[in-house]
Amino acid sequence: MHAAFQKLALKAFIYGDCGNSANTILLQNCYENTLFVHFATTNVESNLETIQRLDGQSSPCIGKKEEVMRIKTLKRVALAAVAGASASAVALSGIAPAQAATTTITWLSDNGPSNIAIENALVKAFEKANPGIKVALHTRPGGADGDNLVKTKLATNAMEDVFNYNSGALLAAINPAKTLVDQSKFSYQKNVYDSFKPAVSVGKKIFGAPWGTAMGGGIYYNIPVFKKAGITATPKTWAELISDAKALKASGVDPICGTFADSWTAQLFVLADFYNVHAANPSFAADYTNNKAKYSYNPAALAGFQHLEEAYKLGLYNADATTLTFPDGVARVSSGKCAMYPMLTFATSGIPAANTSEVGFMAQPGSDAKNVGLTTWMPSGMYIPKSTKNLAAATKFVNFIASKAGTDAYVKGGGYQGPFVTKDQSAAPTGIPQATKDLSALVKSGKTYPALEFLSAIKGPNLPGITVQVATGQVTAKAGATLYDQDVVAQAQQLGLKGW
Amino acid sequence: MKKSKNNLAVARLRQYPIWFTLPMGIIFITLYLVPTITSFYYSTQRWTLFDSTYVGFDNFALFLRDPFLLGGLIHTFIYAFLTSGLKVILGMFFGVVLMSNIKFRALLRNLVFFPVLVSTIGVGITFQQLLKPQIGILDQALQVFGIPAAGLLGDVNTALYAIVAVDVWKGVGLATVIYLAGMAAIPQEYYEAAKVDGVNTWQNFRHIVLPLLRPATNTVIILSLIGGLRSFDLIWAMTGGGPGFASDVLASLVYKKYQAGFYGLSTAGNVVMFLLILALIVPLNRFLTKREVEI
Amino acid sequence: MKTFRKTANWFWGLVALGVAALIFVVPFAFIFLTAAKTSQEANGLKFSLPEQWNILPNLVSVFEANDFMIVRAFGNSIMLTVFSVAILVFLAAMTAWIIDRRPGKIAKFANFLVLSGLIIPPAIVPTIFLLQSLKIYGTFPSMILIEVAFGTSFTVMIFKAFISTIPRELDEAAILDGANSIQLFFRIVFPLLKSVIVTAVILNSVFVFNDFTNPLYFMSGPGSETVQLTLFNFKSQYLTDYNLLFMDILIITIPMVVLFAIFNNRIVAGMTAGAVKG
Repeated sequence: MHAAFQKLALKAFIYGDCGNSANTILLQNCYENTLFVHFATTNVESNLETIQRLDGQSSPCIGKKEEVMRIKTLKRVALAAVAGASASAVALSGIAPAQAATTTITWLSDNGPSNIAIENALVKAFEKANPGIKVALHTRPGGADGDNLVKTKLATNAMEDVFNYNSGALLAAINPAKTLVDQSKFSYQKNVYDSFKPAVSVGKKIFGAPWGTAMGGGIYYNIPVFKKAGITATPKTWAELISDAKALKASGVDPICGTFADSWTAQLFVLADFYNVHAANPSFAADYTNNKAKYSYNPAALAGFQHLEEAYKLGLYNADATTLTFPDGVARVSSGKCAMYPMLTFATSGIPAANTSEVGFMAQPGSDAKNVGLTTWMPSGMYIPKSTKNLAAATKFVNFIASKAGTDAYVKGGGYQGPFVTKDQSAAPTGIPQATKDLSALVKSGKTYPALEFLSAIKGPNLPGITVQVATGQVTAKAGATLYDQDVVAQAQQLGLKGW
Repeated sequence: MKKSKNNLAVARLRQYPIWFTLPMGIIFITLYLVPTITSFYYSTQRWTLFDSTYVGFDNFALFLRDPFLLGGLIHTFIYAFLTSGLKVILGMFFGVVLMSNIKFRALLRNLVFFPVLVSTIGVGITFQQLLKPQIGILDQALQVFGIPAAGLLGDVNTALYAIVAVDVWKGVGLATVIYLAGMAAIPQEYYEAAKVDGVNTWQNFRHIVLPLLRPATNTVIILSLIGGLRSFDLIWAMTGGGPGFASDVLASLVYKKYQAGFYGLSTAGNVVMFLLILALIVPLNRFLTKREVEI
Repeated sequence: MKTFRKTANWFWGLVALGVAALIFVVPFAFIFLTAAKTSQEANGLKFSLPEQWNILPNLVSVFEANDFMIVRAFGNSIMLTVFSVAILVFLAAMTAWIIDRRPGKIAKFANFLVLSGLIIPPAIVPTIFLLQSLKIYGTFPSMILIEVAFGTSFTVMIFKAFISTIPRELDEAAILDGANSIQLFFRIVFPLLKSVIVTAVILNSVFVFNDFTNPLYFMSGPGSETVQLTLFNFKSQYLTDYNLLFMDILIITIPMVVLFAIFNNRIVAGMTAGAVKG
């Protein structure tokens, strides 16, 4: 019985449900930080006496002090409690609570010092605005190991109360309809751009709030190195880029950074080309999903693979490409050891402070000099698993993340790398890196299009390996594209898509 | 006559009671066998976290049609037989050296065994850095012998062999210890009897030590071969199966399916792997144990 | 002749030491040197003496990381190792004894089971489901049992290999003397297994202590981290602090080195004891 009271009290407190039942009054003693539950049955209005502290000991004082009040709001209750209980506070102070009765929610997020700084800033801001809720941050490794952990936790109902994860095609792989809470009716939805919503939706339901800033997929380049090689403007077509690369090579730097030890980085030439693919084939995304378009015999789509092949054949990659990792690539383009690095814009946070004005960002050019546009990546999503036991607190947290207060805290924690996808968003801080300025300019120009993985659930798992194979000359572009097309067949079948 | 024989048999059985094996048996069966059999069930399902649809042997067909499977199989066999062979030979060699009378035996034993104590991830990370082209010291040392510009780990042709070398580096101490324990179990009288008979060192080794070491040798062969066929941690830590798919083995192929969320498919892959290894090891084990000598 | 022998021993000893030092020590030297450098210098990954010895600050950083995670992790890992290895070795010795000695088909079947245990990789998700249905998922005792279950095949196999070298005449003699099964095993056979026990203890301790994936899946959550997980404090997708990472590797290798140093002498004792057995 006591446990039932506790549960009900907690629920009522979290949902603010005191207007509903006049007989359930919650009193929060802010000083003592203890929740007192005051129950009275309808029949016996004056019978208030089952007042129990949540840690199980009954308080003799309150029973004498309180009367049943028809209370409309929690605020009034709290005020009345504080006022009325001030006398009992003296008596109560002798009864030390066994533990503070706040709700704690758990949050699974990325590790790494820069991420943790952002996350801590958010936790701090949220806890300040919501004194009854504490957020316990759990971190997980990024990349493949982290992915696995997320999937296993979801499968075994062992997931934290909130967690962030990729949006787009990768979201489909964790079966949101079965595992995640539907956030379509959450209060933050009006603050989020519609363009983001498909990336976190399955069917008509929205499952995630935006976490972080939007990103672009393009090419970082070292400005002084370009100047030294006599290149005055960023290339507007792929052919121009190749001739620029040759000039760079002649001037003594590696034209393109390859970091294939992190095989996911090799995908960029293929994935970031989608603006150009879409420009040539507006219906590609839909056709692709319906098994009607393929990388291997669609010329515009094949171009991405051919870029890799060309870079390999002309020797534009650094000699040690297969052993470098992503941080190496960022370091090299920052220091000027290599001139260009195809990458997503979240890399900007890794550019050393001394070099932030020397590294620019450009969109990946296609074949049309007049139509140079940016392929964009949606931010990750913040999700709530169905298995959570603290849904209301988790909801509050998610709403906070997607609000202006949330994005402010995000910026404060050092996370600004481009525009947010929220309407009412924080201003950019002063002194942002050149690359972020370039990104914002590109986004402002309106010439953007989301990457394929946000328009289609089909993304084969072997693309990283295959693109490395093409970039190291193990297979030709056509063969690589064919392999990838075969790869997605397996994936589509596993997803149970029709027509495959 | 028959009755006493029966009595003896019964007495024998009573000396070796089954209940000795019960606690371990229960733990093993519950926490290992049962989930494994359950997972075999899942290999016939398209399993996405919560729902599963029966697809018969589709998963197996899909796994066996994987374009990277053949490469993975070849890599697996190369890796397993190389590491196993090297561990057997080097382990025995080190064991013999450490049983002889040269100086610094205790120190040498420690040195050889140290790599076993470090975690696989630690070893993987360390050698990944040591082999980095141009800056890793191992790479610089090996430049003398002329190695590819991309470094041993970065070159498609040498990546797998580089990992083999690191695996042997890490595991040979284990083989050595097993051999040492095996050699220590040979009663001194055998050596003394042989000495009396006037055998020299090589004959001593070949006809006395080697046969009596068979249980140890067989243990090392079986363990290292199975470990090699299933090897995953070190390869994944050093190259992730790359560059591209150049150092992919069966275990990493299966893991990638798991990563992609194809749980039924990866389970089917596990089953295939299991059957393959079983088909190899069981006959081998039978062949090897037949040749064991009882003291 | 004797002096020739002695010089030969010294000579070969030195040669062996040199070779072993080169092969086995150099990587550790690299780990140590990098662990002693500052972050900037360490990322250069050169095999050089540190320009600035930074051991103490690195040590402090590693301990402080992620809320002193390494301290809790050490406690957890050591407890896990001690309990699971003790249980595992004890039970495995008994089991291997029966498998080797007991006539009949059951033993053969058990043998096959043990072998499959080595071959089949454990299925993570079904095991989690099972633990959840038994209501022990995520608890420390369940982790111990898991490590016991996963280490069974290997340990039983090692024991069996050496039990098979114990002559059966010993059993017969004991039986004739009137020993029952328990006395036979614990009083007579068990002491003979010393060298194998030591080996099994060391190997399993190393395995359990260095285990990364199993605790990650079966016992994750703050407060129950194990030491391998601390490595990820310094190795994220975007940044690696090599000096701290290697310092962490050094720190988490220490218990195993200590363990080995202790038992190393017992291996020697075990071996010489075995050599004199008759």
